[in-house]
This record gives sequence, structure tokens and C-alpha cells, in this order.
Amino acid sequence: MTINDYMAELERELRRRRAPRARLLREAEDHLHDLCAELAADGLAQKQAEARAVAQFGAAATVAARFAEAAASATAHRAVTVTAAAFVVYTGVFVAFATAASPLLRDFPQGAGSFLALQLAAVALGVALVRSLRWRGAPAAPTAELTAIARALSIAAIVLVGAAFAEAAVAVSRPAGVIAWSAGRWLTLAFAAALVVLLLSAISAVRVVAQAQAVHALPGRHVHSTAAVLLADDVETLLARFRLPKASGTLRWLLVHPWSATLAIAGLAFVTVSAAGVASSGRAGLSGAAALAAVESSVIVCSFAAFGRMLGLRDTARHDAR
Amino acid sequence: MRGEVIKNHLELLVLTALKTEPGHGYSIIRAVRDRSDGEFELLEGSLYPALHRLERDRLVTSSWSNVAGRKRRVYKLSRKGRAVLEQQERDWRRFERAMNLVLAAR
Repeated sequence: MTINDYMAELERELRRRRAPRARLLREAEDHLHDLCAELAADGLAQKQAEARAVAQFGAAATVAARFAEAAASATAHRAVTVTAAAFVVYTGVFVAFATAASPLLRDFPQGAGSFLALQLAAVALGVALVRSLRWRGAPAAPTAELTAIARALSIAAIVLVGAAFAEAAVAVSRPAGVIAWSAGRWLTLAFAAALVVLLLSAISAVRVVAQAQAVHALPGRHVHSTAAVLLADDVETLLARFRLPKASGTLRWLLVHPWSATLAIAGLAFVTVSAAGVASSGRAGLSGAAALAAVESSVIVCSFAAFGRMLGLRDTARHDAR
Repeated sequence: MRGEVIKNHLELLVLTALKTEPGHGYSIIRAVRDRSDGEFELLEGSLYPALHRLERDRLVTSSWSNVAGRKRRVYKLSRKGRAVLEQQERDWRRFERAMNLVLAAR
């Protein structure tokens, strides 16, 4: 095979895996010409030297796969950072609106949608963050982890973008009218900035999904989903890295018994929200607080039932892939 | 076996190859081969992804420059990379000493 043929094949393989191409192709071509020149100086004919150089460089599919995995991991780590920033910005704007002095501002965002979206996004982002932190510094995250990060980021980005646009739509269409520019200039600008960051996070999540799918679809790359067990391993590794091994036993139990953990969290949320309601409104507010607490607990359980598998918090089968 | 060992220590080998002077991919492979007396042959397919990752982690920097009349991507050890290399060297020496002690035990 000539260097030109090899370069064409390498480009095809990289394209198929949605990996960045320009720089690697340039470097590979330079490398092959150097190697070829060295082999020719040792006495090989040009054709043989090219064939030997290409063989030594490695099969185009293998080189492309290794590069695609590394590139997909890097994209995933970046996307986790962007989505975390989007989450922080949107949470800040949400809190600023909810605690604003003007009742008209406090009324926007409407609240419930964003409040629930922020909770789901926090869990999804937490899952993605743990997996990403565990594999930062490694040549590439395993395919199953990459897929799990991609799914968690998609959920976080979708619910945040959905909530933000729904809030904006409600705000501009409500009967009480829109907020006067002079009354909420900075908050409106902050909300617009949050929308931009959220859209960036959605774009980065889409890129991760596309690259993770391309890597996952490679022959021999399909791994049976053991995402929950892998997550427990990741948490254990991170805790050991931060010298907190004692916490890992309890956390591991919770992660490999996700339904028990979810029910415990839902129960805790019920008690906390009820207690907070009673503390602010007295015994008279107990029934209202209990109703709110029941909604919150139900949402936690329903969200886990709906998204737990997608988030890689529970698996259909439990076995260790490593 | 040797391939696995090289793969696990690829970062240390690459950073060491760039310790004294900047280099491009091909020169890094040659440097590692020469310094190991031909024992270590880095695979090109692993080297370039590793170099790109080291750059993303800011352990090396890179730029296009003319080397022997050709335009090459030349990699240079960063300050952070030098610190990481020194730490990895210390870890390796400790590991080597402990391994020698174990192997020498009767």
C-alpha cells in the first residue's frame, strides 16, 4: 500500500468515527514520509519503503479507533464542564428571580418547572461528573462510561433548556404582562446569558452523543450495559483518590441497591419539606406542606423510574465487566 | 507483555523524550528507541493520540515549525509537564527500588 492510499483510508476511518481529522492526518503524513525516507536510506526501494512505513504505522482502522476514543473522551470532559457551568448560571438566575424584591419578578420564572428540572439536572450532572472525573487523565474512558456520560449530559441539557424556554414562553405570554425593562434589566440580561450558556451546553451534549455513538458502533466495541456497577467502581476509585475510603462501603451499597436508595431519599425529602413548611407557616400550614412534600417525593421516585436506567443508575443485569 | 508495559508508561516515556529538547512525533519515537537501546518501540497509532491528550492536559505545548525544510508539529514540555515528569520519575524510582528488593529476597 502506498502512503497516499493509506492516507485516504485513514481519513475515511476517522470520518466514519466522527473524529477530528485535519491535524492527525497532517502529522501522520509527515511521519510516514520521514519513516519512508529512513527506510529508503537503508536501501529499500521507494515502493517497498512506503509499504513498510505504512505497515509499521498500524492498520488505519486501529489508529482511527484509538484516536476517536481519545477525542470522544476529551469532548465528553469538556461537555461536562460546559453543562456544569450552564447549571450553575441557570441556578443563579433562578435564585435571583425567586428572591427578587418585586413580586412581578418573583413570579418569573414560574418556578415549579425550573425547580424540578434543576433537581433532575443536578442528579444527571452529578452522575456525568463522577464518571468524567474518574477518567480524566486516562488515555480514553471505556465505551460504556462514555455512553453513560453522553446520556446523562443529554438529560441534563434537555431538561435545563426545556425549562428555561418554557419559563421564557410563560413570561412573555402571561396576562399580567411582561416585566418592565427598567424593573428587571439585569435579571433579564442574566436570563438571556443563561439561555446562551444552556444552548452551548446542549450543543456540546449533542457532540458527545454523536462521538460516543460512533465509538460505540465500532465492531467489537459493544459492551453490555453495566453502568450502575461501573458508577459504583468510579465512586470507589474517586473516594480512594481523595483518601475517603470509609465512605465507599455505604455509597457502594446505595449505588448497587438504587431502588432502596431512591425510596430513602424520597422519604428524607418528604420529612425535610414538611418540616420546612411547618417551620415557616406553623401547624396551620402542615397540610399544605405535606401535600408539597408528597409531590416532591413522588417526583423523585417517578424521575428515578423514568430516567434511572438512562442515567446509568440501574441496570437490567448486574455483573462486573472488568 | 512488553507492549503492555510500554502502553502503561507511555506518558512517562514521551515526557522524558521531550525533557532536553522539543521534538515531533517521529523524533520522539527515535529518541525512545535510541535511549532504550532498541528495547522500546512506541507505536505510532498510540503516540499521536497520547501527544494530543498531553497537550489538552497542558503538559506539552505544540506549534507548527519548519524542520529540515518540512513543516512539522513540534511538541515542547510545559512547566506543568516538567513538574509531572519529575513526580513520575520519583514514583518510578521508588517502584523500581521496591521491586528490586522484592526480587532480591530469598
